[in-house]
Parts: sequence; structure tokens; C-alpha cells
Amino acid sequence: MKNILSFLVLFIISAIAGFYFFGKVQMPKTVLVAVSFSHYVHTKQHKMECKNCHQNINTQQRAGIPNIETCSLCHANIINPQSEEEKKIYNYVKDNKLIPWQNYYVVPDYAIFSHRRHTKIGNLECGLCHGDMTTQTSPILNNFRPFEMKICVDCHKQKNITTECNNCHH
Amino acid sequence: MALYGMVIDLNKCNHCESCITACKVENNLQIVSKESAEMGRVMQWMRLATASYEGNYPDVRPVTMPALCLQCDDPPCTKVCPVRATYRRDEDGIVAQIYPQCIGCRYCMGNCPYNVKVFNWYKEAQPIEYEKCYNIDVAVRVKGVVEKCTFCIHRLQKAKENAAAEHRKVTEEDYIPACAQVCPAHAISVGDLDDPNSNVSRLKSDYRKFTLQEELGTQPKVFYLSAKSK
Amino acid sequence: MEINRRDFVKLLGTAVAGLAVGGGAAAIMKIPKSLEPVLYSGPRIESWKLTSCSKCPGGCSLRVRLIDNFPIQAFGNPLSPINDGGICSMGLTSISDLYHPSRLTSPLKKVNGKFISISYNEAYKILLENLKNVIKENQQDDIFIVVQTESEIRTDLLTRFSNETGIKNLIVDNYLMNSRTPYNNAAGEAPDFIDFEKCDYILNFGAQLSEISQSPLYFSRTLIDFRERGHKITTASSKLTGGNFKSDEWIPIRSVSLGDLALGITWVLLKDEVYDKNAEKSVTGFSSIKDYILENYNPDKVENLTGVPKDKILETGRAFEKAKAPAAYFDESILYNSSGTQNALSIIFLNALKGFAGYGKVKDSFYSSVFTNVKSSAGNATFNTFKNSIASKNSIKILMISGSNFIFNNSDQETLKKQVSSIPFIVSFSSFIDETSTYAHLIIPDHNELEKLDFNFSETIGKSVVTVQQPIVDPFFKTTDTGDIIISLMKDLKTNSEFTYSSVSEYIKSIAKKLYDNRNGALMSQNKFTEIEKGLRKIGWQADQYGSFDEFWDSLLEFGGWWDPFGEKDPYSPKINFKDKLPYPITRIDSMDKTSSRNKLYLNIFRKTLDYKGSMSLYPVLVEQFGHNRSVFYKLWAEINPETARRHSLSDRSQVNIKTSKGKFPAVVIYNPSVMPSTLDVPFGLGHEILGDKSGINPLKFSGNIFDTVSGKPSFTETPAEIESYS
Repeated sequence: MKNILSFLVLFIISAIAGFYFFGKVQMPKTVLVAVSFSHYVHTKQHKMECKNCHQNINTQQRAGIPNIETCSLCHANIINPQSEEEKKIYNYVKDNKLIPWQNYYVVPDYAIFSHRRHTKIGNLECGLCHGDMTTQTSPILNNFRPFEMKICVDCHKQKNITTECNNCHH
Repeated sequence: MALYGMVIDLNKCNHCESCITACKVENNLQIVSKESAEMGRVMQWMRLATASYEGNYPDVRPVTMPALCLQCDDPPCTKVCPVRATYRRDEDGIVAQIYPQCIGCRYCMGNCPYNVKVFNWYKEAQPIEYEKCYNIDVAVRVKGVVEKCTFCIHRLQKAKENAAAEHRKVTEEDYIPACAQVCPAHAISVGDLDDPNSNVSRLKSDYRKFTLQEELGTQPKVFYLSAKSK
Repeated sequence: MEINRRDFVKLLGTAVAGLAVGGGAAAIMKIPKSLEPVLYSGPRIESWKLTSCSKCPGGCSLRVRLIDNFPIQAFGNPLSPINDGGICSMGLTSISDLYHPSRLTSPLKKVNGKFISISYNEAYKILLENLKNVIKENQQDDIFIVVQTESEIRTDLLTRFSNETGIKNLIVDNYLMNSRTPYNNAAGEAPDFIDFEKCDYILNFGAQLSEISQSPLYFSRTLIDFRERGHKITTASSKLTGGNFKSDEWIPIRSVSLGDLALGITWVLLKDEVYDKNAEKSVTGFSSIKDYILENYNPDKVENLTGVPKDKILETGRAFEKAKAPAAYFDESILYNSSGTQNALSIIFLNALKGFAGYGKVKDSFYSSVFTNVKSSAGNATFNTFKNSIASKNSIKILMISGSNFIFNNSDQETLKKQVSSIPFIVSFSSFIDETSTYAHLIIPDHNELEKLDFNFSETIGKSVVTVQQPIVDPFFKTTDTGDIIISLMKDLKTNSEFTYSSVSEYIKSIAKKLYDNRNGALMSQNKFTEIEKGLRKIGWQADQYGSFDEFWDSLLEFGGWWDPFGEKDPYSPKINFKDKLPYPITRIDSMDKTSSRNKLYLNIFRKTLDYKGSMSLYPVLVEQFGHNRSVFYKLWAEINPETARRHSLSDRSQVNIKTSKGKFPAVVIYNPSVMPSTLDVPFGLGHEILGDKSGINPLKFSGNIFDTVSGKPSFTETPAEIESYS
């Protein structure tokens, strides 16, 4: 019994050692946040919808993060900013500088995901994949749904959409 | 269901090689190193193959034709893939290739009688001026997968998406592969063989039609038109 | 702790198994870097813009695809009457030289043999000082300008510059100027286009119509139609290249004797007295030329001179007689042998016998209305003038180079390099450091073609066409448009200059104003016009409606061009005066044995469509594709007739050394039954030493010192060669 226990402990320790030695664990990536954007402030307090700022959802493959052209539509008129974050935005707007957002996750090259197919043609709600964004008070740092092919295929099978490989891998 | 085929008119083709460059640039093909090129591992999905020369000097003319994947209706390559990385799609008749699924055994390459499948032996560093001009719709293949011409299926998917967003069907003007789009002599036509009004259906019934190695029973969907008399 | 061997082995095995499992799991979970998306992480918004390609004189219209305002791909514009949606390999890969790592980013000055980066103002001051010093001493004849750009506007600016400052030695080396110079000298003006509606027989002397021509894509389309209507094309050349496979007949003949073949066919027409009688009046000295030809060029003699059987000469001559509107066609490629200009004059005389019926001129050509002085006075000097000036005592003081890589494109490169390095001040406007600009003392790089504004004028289709080249991106680096530099120089060197515009874009807008006033044309918004529209046009209807000039300018940039769809044509019937250069050679330069002799071998250099100027090495896709038809990559190959090969005991695909008087170089021997006997066909384009991909060998380095006596172009076909096999 003691022998088996010691074998087991050794096995587990060496497995963990091998894990770290031969490859890094997928930790959540630390991104530098330029402005601490609060979805709660913009959606609940100012009653905006997703597509007011994310204007490419229904027309493009990639939705993208809105940048200075969209923000300055409103923030250019706020000439005396109150909070810290508003002051930061005002600095970007007045110089017309691009805000350096960083994607914490990018769709890999071997798969093609098109926003337009899912929102405009498929008529899906934003919250189904992204969760309830109206409660978030700071920028997002991890996925709401883990990005595995199993999640996509399960939803496709449930809604009777084609699961042909080449529709997404080409 | 659509059935996409191609007709190449060899009496119009004047060997300018635009179709080959267009295929390479559209599909982000790899430029191999000089050592690999010497070993015959240049990656080309479409080649301008000289079969033979006919005639006596000085009336010698080469028999040349663009050779690409013939998108067979009974493909020998799909029958031997152990992981179903290549398969024939029923909805449009294109023989598709799934790069993440391929394990690189190259059994399909040996089975293809026309030698149109290409393998990524190594992943070479690409010149940066070529990398910046990659087509974003097409995945860049990794080391160890087999690839071949797919009739620019990414353009077909985009056309279907546009058509679905506008609540209509895919017409002939929506989808055209890169080689057919750039040919200066308009020698290459791609279309729906099931549609009796399309260009390809009309050209397929031309008396000059022939196709390669019909006796093997692969039922290819790329037809060549060539009249022997000059 | 005591451990026996068994337990130790078990522990070791478990440890290794654990490591393997843990490591393997990590390896599967780790995503390699190459799978991450390669390009932009922005929203990837796609947009399209129209521009024009400037790689060859064709003037095709391009649609450029931009992602997040970066151009990545180019396709043809389906509404253009020239290319009709098609595009060639050079246009497809032309986007990539915007991102090339060797692209120069700022003006450079040579200090102690190295280039250092300086500002534009400093560079301009140096250039101006040098020019002023030479012009002050009235030594303008010691300044040479070499330009090889296809842009008519930049050539016009340089012509004005040379007229105003008195610098007469302007060498314009582009395709159109070289093709038209024989016509300009003999007839005062050249024909604009081949009239395919009237023409019913083409006798092609050495040109590659659908590969290197006034507009390769246009000829690719129309020659198919020409043959489908039952008309014939006969090609007489030294190599049957890809574009000429569709000719009905190929007459193999060495390029140097093309003129003799033309004179032999002329003999047939003169003897049968089947020629246009107006020629007797329009050609000065017709009767003496006729007597000379009838006496000296009967088919037996021509067969001895050229090797073409006399039955073939008679047959071709009779076909030329029977046709109502034949065209004997030649272009710039005829100049590349030792009697090039002479051959061109013989062909002009042959055309004159049938009244130039297969050619035409555009009526009310827009190009002529804008550039009234370019066609006649540009390009007075040639490379012969350049070499003579250096060889004689008065040496050259300043050399200005724009868009030309003449050291790579010429033979006798050692002498040329020595001559060029003896010039005290050389300024180059090229965007890359290549074989010629490496000798420069000052480089002011030009904008990339996608960053420039320009107009491309073309009359190949028989109607006036203007394709607009507009800036797709803002300039990436600190480059300057060469046209702006020339305009500033004109204003600084001459006090009351006649040129009133202050920049190239102002000049181009003034030309656009002329387009706006010309109510005949239409923007490229439609490709085909119906008969109803043609009738409506006659009563004053217009295809496009626009209000002010600004609206017109915006529409012009949006549609990418303007043309005159119902333009009419005039026949081309000039008065010909050969002056001192008669259409037959008075003294013969027998530099080679013109008939095919059994044991000698000659080097025959040919050009392919992928590169005719010698700048292909910048595009890695084109370099890889260069030899794929023969399965030879990154190496030079020599095509040889199988019977000749067997006589010299060479096997297919063997490595040999080819030896000429200048040295020896390796090549792969390829059997090709369509090659002339006793020639070795080698392609031109590989072998750059400084620019881009450096694989392969430049055959012009090893070709002999034989040049055309008038134009100074190197001979491609007359170098004797020997073969040494590898062991």
C-alpha cells in the first residue's frame, strides 16, 4: 500500500513538472487596458444598445472594437470631463489619436467565423455568446463561453444548421 | 443542388500564365526555398503542363494546357483518406480539403491519377512583401498538410452569405474563381452544370470537348475544348 | 533509504511516464505561433479603389482591394475597354513592391563610398548647384538624361525641361518611343493602331503581340477574334514564343535578316506589279529604290542571305498581295540586332507598297491635342551618342537617370560600368538601389506607383482612352514625386519659364479640364454601347451628366478613366522620305553566318512576358514561376533542337557550361523541337546582382559587343557560343 502511494505521488509530481517544463499552461493573457471602459455606464445609465457602438455586427465578418471615430461622436461634446476615465477619453478625442485596444482573444487563422451570418442571417441575440454585458463595469479579460469547436457544433446541431466542415475551415 | 464545373477553351488560351499567378496570390501559397525547388517541391495548385509537341519542324506546336484539380464526381482521393480530411460535398460537387483534420499521410496524393495534390514539406520563412499581401479569407496552411485547388470555395461561401443576407439565390455573377476572373482571353468559365442556361452547360456540349483520362472512371468536372485543325 | 534494483527501475519508469504524459498534454494544448492570425487585428473593413497599372505601356485599369486601408490585391476592371476585366501576372503582383524591405525611405547621398540619409531640401540644393555650375559655362551638351518610364506626362515634363534649359541629350528609352522612332524618321509620324476592322492579314516580324506590346491584353483578346473570322497571321522570328503559338505559320529566320526577308517579299510585289500605285508618288525616290530591289533581292539571293526557302518567300509574297489591307508589323524588338533600324526601314517600305492599309490613326486624338510637341522632338539622343561622348575627349559631366536600369539591360557591361563610374556627378530617381543607381552620387527616390497621380494615354484600341492612376495610399516614406522635382528645377533654372503650373497635380488637373470641355467622350462607366446610343450621340446626347468641374473630377477618380467610344479613325497615309538611310543596306555588316550552318552554335536571347524590362527580381512569385513550364527553377536554361543536341552529344536536362568570348556560364539543356537548329535559346530576366532575388545568370553579360548602329540597342542573337559539358 505504501509503495503504491509513493508511486502515485511520484507520478503526479512528475506529471505536473512535465506540464510546466514542456509547455506553458494557458493562463489568461494580461492585457494593458488603456481606458477602463464600463459597459454598465453606457448601456444601463445612457440606455444605448449593442449596435450603436459596434456598428459592424450585421455587416462584416469581424465586429471589431470601436475606436476613436465612434467615441468622439459623443465624447467630443463633453468638454469638461468629470471622472478619471472621461478625462482619459477626452485626451484621445482631442488629439484624434487611436485608442490602443488589445484583443485578448483572436479567432485563429484556420477557422472563419462571420458575425454577419450569426446576427443578421441567424437572428441570434448578442447575449447568447457574450453573456449579459450590461453588468460589466470594466473591460473584459476572458471568454464568456470557452472557445472549443464542441460548443459551436452543439449549437449548430440543436438549431439544425449545417455542420459541413468546409463552411468554416477553408 | 448546384454542381460546379469548369470549361477551358484551349483555342483561346495563349499561355500568358496569369491564371497560375492569380491562384498563387489568391490562396496564399507558400514560396519554397531554392533547395526544395530543386527537389521538385514547388507548390502550385495550377500548372501549365506541356504534354508533347506535335508536327514537323517548322510547324511544331506544343500541346499545352492548364492542369488543376479536376473536381471528380467519383474521386479516388477521398476513398483512401483515413480521417476524412478530404471529401466531396453534395451541395455543390466540390471536393473539399480540411487542413486541421489532415494528418499528412499522403495516401491521397498517391491515389490521384492527375498529380494535383501538393504537400507542405516544410514551413519556410516567406518574404515580407509577400506576407503583407496575403488574402485574409484563406487560411495559411501549416507544415504537414496536403492541399489542392478548391475552386476558390472561400469566394463561394462569401457569395452565399451575401445572397442569404439579401434574401436571394446565388447567381452566376456572384461567384467566380480567381483563375477565371483574371484570364485576359476569357478562356476559363466556371458555373453550375445543373443549370441549363449557364455558360458551362452550353460549352460542355461543344463538339471539341475532351477530358483527361476518362477511362479511369473518375468523372472529372473540368472539360477542355480544343479543335485540332488550325 | 535502501532501494533494490527492481523498485528503482519501477520508480524511474513511473517518473518518465509521468513526464511524458504531462509534457505531451502540454504540447497538445500549446498553439504554435504560426496558427495565430497573420495580419491585421482591426475590424478588417474591405474597400475597393480604381487605378491604372504602369508596368507596361498597355494602360490597363485595375481594381485594388484594400483591407483597413492597406492594399493587398489587384484585379482587372471589367468596364475598361482595354483589358475587359483581365490582368496579367505583372499587374497581379505589383502591389507587393509597396511593402518591399529594400525600398528606399529617404534621399541618399554617397559619402566615402557609402550612402547616408539626408533631407529633401539638402538633396535638392546639391542637384541645383551642380546643374547651375554646368549651365553657367554653357556646357549643356555634357549633361545626359536617361528616362525609361511609360508615363507620357513625366516624359513630357522632361522634354519641356530639356527644351527650356537647352540640355539636348535626352534619351527616352521606353517601348513606344523605340517602336516609333523608325517611323518618325522616315515618315514624320507613326501609326496609332492596327485597324482590326479592316485588316485581314498580319505579317509579324519578330514581335510578341500578346506578351510584350502596346497593350498585351488587348491583343490577346482581339487576335482570337481576328482568327475566328478566318484571317491569317504569319510570324517570322527567331524563336516561337508562347504568344506566337497561335500563328498560322512560323518562318524561322535569324533576327538580323528580317530586313532581307522583307525585301524579298517586296521583290515579289514589285515584280508582279501588284502594289498601291499611290506609293510611287508618296515615297521619295521610289523608282530608284524599286530598280535596286528588283536587281538585288530576287528569291534565290534572299534564300542565300536568310536561309528561308524561296517557295516560302513567293508564297508569303502572294498572300501579302492578295490581302486587301495587310499589315507588316514590327515593334521595339526589331532593334535588338546589328541591323535593327535598317530592317525596320525595309518593313516600312513594304507597308508603303500596300498603302499602310492595315493601320490607322485616331481622328481628333486627345493625346495629340494635349502633347503637341512631345512626339516630334523628344528623344533625340541614343545610347550611341552616350557612348561616343564618353569615348571622345569631351566627357560627360552630369547624368540623370529616371526609371532606367540600363546597365542590366545592355551588353558589354564591363565597359559600360567603367564609363559610368567616370562621370563626376550622377543623380538617380529610382526607388531601389539596383545595378545602375548604385553608381549614383545622389538618389532622390520616387513615389511608388500606388502613391502617384498620373494619366495613362492609350490609342491601341483605335479610340482615345485615358486611364487614371490615382493615389491609393498616402506616401509611406519620405519620397518625392519626380515630376515635382523637374518642375521646381525648371522654375529655378530659367527665370521666365513657360510652364505655369507649380506641381504635377495642377498640371494633371489642367489636362482633366480639357477632358471636361471635350464633350465627345464618356467615363468608363459602361463597356458596351448599343447602336441606339450611338445614334443619340450624333444628335448631342451624352453618356454622363455632370455639373461643375469638381463633380467631373470626382467622377473621373471614381470610375477610373475616360474614353471616346464613338471615335472615328483616319487612314494612315504619310509621305515617306528615307533621306540618307535607304530601306536596303548599302554596306553589309556580316557579323554572322546567316544561314543555318551545321556545326556552329549561336546564343539567342529571348524575352518572356513576365519580365521585359529586367525588374522581375523584386517579385518573388514571378521569379519562382519563371521557369515552371520547363520545370527549371531559379536557374538558367538553354533550349535546343533535339537534332542539334544529338550532333553535339548533349542529353536532355544535362548541366553544361556555355562558353562565349566573354566567359562561361552554367545552364541546363532542355530539348525543344520548335527551336531553330544551331541556336541556344536562353531567357532574359534572371541574374540580378544587387536588386531583389539574385538567382540565375544574366545572359547579356556574356553576349558579344554587337549593337544596332543607329539606336545603340544590344544585339540579342548574334553571339557565337560553344558548349563544354560537365563531367
